[in-house]
Amino acid sequence: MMWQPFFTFFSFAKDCIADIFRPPFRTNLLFKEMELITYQSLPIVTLCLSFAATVTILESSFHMKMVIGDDALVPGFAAVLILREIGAIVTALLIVARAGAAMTAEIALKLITEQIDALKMIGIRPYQFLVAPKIVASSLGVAMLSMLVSIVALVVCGVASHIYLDLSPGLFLAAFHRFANFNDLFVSGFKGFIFGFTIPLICCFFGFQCRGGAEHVGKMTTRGVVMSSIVIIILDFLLSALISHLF
Amino acid sequence: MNNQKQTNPSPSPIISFLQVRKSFGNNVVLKNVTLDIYPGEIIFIIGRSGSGKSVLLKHLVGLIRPDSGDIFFKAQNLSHLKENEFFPIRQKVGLIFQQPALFDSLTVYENVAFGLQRLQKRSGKELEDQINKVLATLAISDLKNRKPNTLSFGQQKRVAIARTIALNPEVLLFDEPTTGLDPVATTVVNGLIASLSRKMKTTSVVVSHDMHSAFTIADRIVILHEGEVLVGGTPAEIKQCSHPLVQEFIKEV
Amino acid sequence: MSTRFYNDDNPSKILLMLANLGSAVIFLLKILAHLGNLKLHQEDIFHQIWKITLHSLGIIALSGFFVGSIMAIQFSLQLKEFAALSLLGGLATSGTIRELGPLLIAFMLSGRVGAYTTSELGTMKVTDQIDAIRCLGADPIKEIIFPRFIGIICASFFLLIFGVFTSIFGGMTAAALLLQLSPQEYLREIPRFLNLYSILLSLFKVFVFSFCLAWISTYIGYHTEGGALGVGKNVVKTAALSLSVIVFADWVTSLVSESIQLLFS
Repeated sequence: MMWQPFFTFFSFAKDCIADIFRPPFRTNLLFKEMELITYQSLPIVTLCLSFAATVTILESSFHMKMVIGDDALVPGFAAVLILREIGAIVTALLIVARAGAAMTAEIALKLITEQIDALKMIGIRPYQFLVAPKIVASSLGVAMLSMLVSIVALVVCGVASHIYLDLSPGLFLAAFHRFANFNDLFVSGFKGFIFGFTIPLICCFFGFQCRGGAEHVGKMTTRGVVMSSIVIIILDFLLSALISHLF
Repeated sequence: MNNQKQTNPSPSPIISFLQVRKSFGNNVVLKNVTLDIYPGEIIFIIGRSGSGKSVLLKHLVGLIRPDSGDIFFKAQNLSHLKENEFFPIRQKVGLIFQQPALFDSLTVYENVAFGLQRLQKRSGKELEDQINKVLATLAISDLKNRKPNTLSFGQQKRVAIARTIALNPEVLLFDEPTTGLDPVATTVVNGLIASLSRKMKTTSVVVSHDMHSAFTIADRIVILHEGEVLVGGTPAEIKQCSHPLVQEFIKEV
Repeated sequence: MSTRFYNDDNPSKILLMLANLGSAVIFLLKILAHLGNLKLHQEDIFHQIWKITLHSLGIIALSGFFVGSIMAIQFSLQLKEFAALSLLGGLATSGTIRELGPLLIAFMLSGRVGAYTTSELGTMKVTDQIDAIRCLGADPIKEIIFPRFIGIICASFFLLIFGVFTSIFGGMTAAALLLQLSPQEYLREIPRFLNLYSILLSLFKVFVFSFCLAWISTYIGYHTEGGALGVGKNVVKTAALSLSVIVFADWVTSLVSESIQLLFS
């Protein structure tokens, strides 16, 4: 009985994923979702990650000074942290709050205004029309966003190092190269892909669970955000453990 | 514009609207409303959806302030009062919302107690007696400890009425009381409004687009159209009115 | 309140934003005006603190545990470079207390508590319950908003402490399972890394973050309009805005603490 919700969710996920590969392939919807997730979120995510990058530099420098009394290697550590962890997770959580919550609300509202029933009447599969494009768009979008924004964050790191640690850009790049390489960027993208894949699955699931009224719409949207966030953190742990073991 | 006729020499009006104007942005909801309401009567304000009926009602409890014009309650001008100055008014003028607006986290008993505790500062045995009396009047005593989300829509409406009449107001404002109810429940609610009015000697202002109910229990009917009072009078007078719009309204009755 | 702004045709976006900000500040002042009689609201506030803390314990425990593990893994890779793995416990804990702890709590709470509060208040607003409160002689800000506002801020402190402990536990577990580091070794260096200043910074950050969260979620919830659609829209708004504001506040507080530290060293 306790496992019932999980079964419901996995059967939902299975249906949605199957619908991704079922024609007609609604590429115009895909592009619309992509625009929402990536283009519209780009400024905010970049800004937030820049802030996070600066804070990472400051905190790393503080701890470095504690451990070995010297902060010349801070850029290297910070860069690795950003590429492997912060880039993907902060981007994903921001997307959950912006796009994920919007997905849940959209589907919940469509459900209670009977638009879902209307779609079924016309012969359109609701999951294929509503959820599948979001999954594809989100996976690709968050992956790209992760990588792109991580690069911007690294540039910001360089600037921050220059301002706070008096490290010239040259020293920064040197320290950076010692610890990080392109593989780490792909890690960021890969994590972004996995996170982006799960966000619509979970958020739309809760959207479809809505049973009516303003109160329920709010409750389901909240639940979608919270569940997505916690699943992303757990996935991040599993991925980090896996990656650190394999490499 | 204002075709009120007094069928009997009544005392001075208990509520008066004088050239009230209210707009929301570019949308002028009330253009120029002038209306007198007399103590003890049941008056129905009829109009199409969006004609500003609810907005008019909310002015009387200070939830909305007019852009211009005056509103008088027993010779007191309400148009420029501050929020906390409205509290004594709200003791005497009770609004029953279209959605029951019951407090989800409180039981029926606690809902009814809410106004009594805060507006009238009652407590203890006095409070309990009043609540039980009011619940009995509306035949919902057995729902005392239930939460609103376990009640039917009709039951919720009755609790909402109980909550408001517990304060013994002089004026009762009903915002679309029968909208969304089936014909049986509609008759029950209409009967409630009529009997409450007689029993408690209140003035009842009912906003509705249910002409049938209006012709059943109203002493006077006023038709609001495009932000102004079109006609007003007893049900018999309205029936005989030759204005085309009025004829359209009463066609269904 | 918002009707005032419609009198201009097409006010510019910046003007609208400023107007909203002004309105939000007025709202905040109305709430803070009740700080004077805290004693009156004691029961309500305790009830809220209890409710919010209980409501969020699970999510904080889970997220704290896993973030602690993630930090342990990531830091271990870097510490291995210096063969200083024994410092892992201290480093991870210090990082959690100073930075990740407050940030994580705020992130999780912005969903669990922030979005929830906006949903609750928004629903009350669109079902006329807020108007009903006014008609029955009470001030909605006093009855509903103020206890929640204070409750969120106070509960955050308890949740921070709880989160830090679960984080340490998570790091310890990950270290033991994946890095062959015993719990004793993990915990040993923690005191070395902790100082009063870090703890003060942590508490200050939690206060700032939860203040922003309480403000945003209550303001947006209270000013919801438009039925179920409005509630949905505003929950999304709160989730998105509070995250961005928290990240921004994190940056500002870090800068401020950095400057203060420079002043004292």
